[in-house]
Amino acid sequence: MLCSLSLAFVVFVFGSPASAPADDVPLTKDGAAPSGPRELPAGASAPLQAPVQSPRPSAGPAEAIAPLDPGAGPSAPAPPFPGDGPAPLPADFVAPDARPSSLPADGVAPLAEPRPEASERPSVGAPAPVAPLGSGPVLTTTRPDPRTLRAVRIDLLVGPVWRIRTTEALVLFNLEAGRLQGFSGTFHAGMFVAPDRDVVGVNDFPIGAGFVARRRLGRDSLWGSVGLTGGILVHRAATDLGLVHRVDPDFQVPLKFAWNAGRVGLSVALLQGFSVRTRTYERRGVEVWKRIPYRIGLAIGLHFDVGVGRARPRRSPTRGVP
Amino acid sequence: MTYLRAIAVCSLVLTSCQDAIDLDPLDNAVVVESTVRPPPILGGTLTLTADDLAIAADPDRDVIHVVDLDAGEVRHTIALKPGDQPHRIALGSDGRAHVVLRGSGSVATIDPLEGTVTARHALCPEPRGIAFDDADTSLYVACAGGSLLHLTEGGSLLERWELEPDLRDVLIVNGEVKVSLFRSAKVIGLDGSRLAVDSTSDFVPHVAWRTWVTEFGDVAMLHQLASTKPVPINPGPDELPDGGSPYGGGGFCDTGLVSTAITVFSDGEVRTTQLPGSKLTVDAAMTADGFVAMAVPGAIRPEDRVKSKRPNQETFFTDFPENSVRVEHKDQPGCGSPDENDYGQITAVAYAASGRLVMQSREPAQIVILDGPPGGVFEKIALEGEARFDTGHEIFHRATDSGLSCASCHPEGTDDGHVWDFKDLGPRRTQALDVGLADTAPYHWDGDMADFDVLMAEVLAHRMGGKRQSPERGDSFTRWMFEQQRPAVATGVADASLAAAGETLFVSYGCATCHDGPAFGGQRTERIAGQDKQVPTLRRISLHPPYMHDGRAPTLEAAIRDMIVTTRSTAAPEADVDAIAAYLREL
Repeated sequence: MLCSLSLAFVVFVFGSPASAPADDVPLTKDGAAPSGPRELPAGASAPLQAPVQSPRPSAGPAEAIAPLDPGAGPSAPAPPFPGDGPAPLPADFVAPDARPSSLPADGVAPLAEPRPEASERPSVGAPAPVAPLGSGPVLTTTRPDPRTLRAVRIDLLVGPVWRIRTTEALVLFNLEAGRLQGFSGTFHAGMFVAPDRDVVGVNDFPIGAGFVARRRLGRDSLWGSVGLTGGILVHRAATDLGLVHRVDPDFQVPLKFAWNAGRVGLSVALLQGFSVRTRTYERRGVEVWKRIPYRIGLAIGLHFDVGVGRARPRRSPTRGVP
Repeated sequence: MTYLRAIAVCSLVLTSCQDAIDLDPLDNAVVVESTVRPPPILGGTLTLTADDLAIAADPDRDVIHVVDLDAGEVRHTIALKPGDQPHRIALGSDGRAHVVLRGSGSVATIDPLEGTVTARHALCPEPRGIAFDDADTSLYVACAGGSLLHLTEGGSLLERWELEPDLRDVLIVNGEVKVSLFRSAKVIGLDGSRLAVDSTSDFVPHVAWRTWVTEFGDVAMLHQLASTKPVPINPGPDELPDGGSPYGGGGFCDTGLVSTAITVFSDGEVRTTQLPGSKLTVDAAMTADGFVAMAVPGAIRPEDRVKSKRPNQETFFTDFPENSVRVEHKDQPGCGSPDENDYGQITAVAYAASGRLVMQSREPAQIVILDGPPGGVFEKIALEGEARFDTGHEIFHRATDSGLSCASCHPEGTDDGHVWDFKDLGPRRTQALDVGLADTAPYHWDGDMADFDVLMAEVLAHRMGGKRQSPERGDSFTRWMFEQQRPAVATGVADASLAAAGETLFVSYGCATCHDGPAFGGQRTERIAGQDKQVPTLRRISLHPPYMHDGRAPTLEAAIRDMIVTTRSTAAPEADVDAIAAYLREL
């Protein structure tokens, strides 16, 4: 039941560059996409994912358009005709039976004057070509550097927690906010459910905060993180004499691995914890329940990134400016 | 390096922290200490006359009540001297009654009709049993020290026998005088005859609370059976016996470590009936058709039951309706009589000629008349006297989760003479408590109980399954225990010079080196024969066989020989042993 429940509410949202929201994609003033790493609009990932490998310059407004050669005269050999489309022709090239070209003579800014429908121009990455004679903007083929991205990641993990000779069930909520790669702050709250409930019914609630250092492992969407948290472990036990509550300091070293698959990712965590005090229950002088302060948990779950965006530059823009 | 050391120290400190939560229920009821702290329950203080008068001795208040059962009123309350502790009663001639006064070592003769004390006779330290012989209108009085006195009804000494120590009840069976022995649960005759309860593979008899002669001339005895099986004191979580305490018991029909039994000696036949589910039982009365009514002052009160606060959990303490009176057939006993009536703390029972069951409650002081089976309609007759409820007294006598109370093994505030086989500890004889425990810490043979708080937590709460006591209640209990010191019993030493010689030898053999102080020991732990043992006090030592921590010496003389050989590596002459034994019997 625990597993099914956990699967029901474990949500794993891991933001990848391909799934960045459209609002986060900045454009240059001239409508061109930035040359650096950028966020990709939702719904436009497919055409932008695959790099355009055009064998010749395109006529689009992007900087990747091949400039016309001003030196090319009538004596120059005529360029080969493209096999698949209307590539711009040199300005002095006139077909014998062609009407005069409507393109400007210098040809370097075919859309220099905004057309009336310029405001309705599809955004970068739209399925339709943005340039009448081009195949769309050519974006960088490299992934965005995660060190420049911020992220808020929510983990919901379930799994067993081992102590010596006892194994408890774990449900853990984890919130991390910070660099997608680098340091993030972390907060966790969870519950350990002790299975041996004959004498006392024990639930422990770890609550803590700290930091984690996350790094992408390889070029795929595999991430690893290690952290250190401090907090409290709230011990709640139902006994024959009534409810017993205790609070102990609690420290945890979470070692997590995350794998992204679209908007949902899988997390596997190795959670080492230390709650300072050994806790025992005695009846008639006989130890009937015991937990040592050390624990190791192996948890699996889903994570969900609720916000991924460009992080503030590490260096202030005004640095060095008097 | 300094940081590493600091981290190591901190880690060590942190990991050594442990929080142990005790799940035993805590009793923090208000402490009540009586103005005169009551003595341990003696039991069997009620006698009925042929004309339905109940004569009830009250050792808690040092009074004797004369109650008209038919009228339902108290006719007289006869005040005695403080500390008299009236106990057994024998009906004499001309309507008189004779009452042994255990505290003052006397016998008082009263006139129930007039409500007066007609005579007092000092006899011996701690007289216990008394019987009236119709044949010659004489009295027999048994003294704890072993003296059996034959007296005229006027108090003149006719004859004196020196029998074994620890005499209890006197019986006149077909003209023969017999006396019961308290701890060993035997009946001895003046001719040397003995009636003994048969031991079983698991139980041995002890503590003959009451011995009487039935209508058929048989001898009946209410006694205890003590277990000879190994007793766990520190079991693992999976080794806890049913009932949840190391000493076991506590089940609905469990015999536990100590159980009550009725033995009838009849024409050479000894028939013992063990009563399962029994608590401290101090008195019994039998009808002609074999029903036995028993006084059970240690029964758990309804207010002592602790309900579990966990949902859907069983009751923590037994929820079986118990009462301080129990009626069973001697041949077909059950596991208790369901009875929700509040009779008080019953300490004595008797059947009237009409078949009514008459009971005496010590607190509240009252006579209860039950006409019918337990649980039926009953009548209360309040007795005069201030309340004697006392926290220490209550803790000592009230049964725990195992069915045991302190008084189960320490009847009358002393000991049962049993040698227990404790797991991982070995044989240990029950220690006497009436020797003056103040300033004798640490406690137990091994001296492993630093004080009474530790002892109560470990023995009363953990092993026996009782409640933990609040500090105030623990202090009250300790004060009550320290007051329970009885005087010495000179057990028939005829030759005073022999005792004096024994005292000299006691010093010369070095016995006084360890057995020193006002209690002749009890204040130090010594290493003897490779074992550290608490030096026991020698007060009232003649009443506490067998001797040594493991009970290996059955007699006082054997114990003296053992100690001399152990400490001096040479055997002592028998004359010296006899002299030292004579001296010790005077302590």
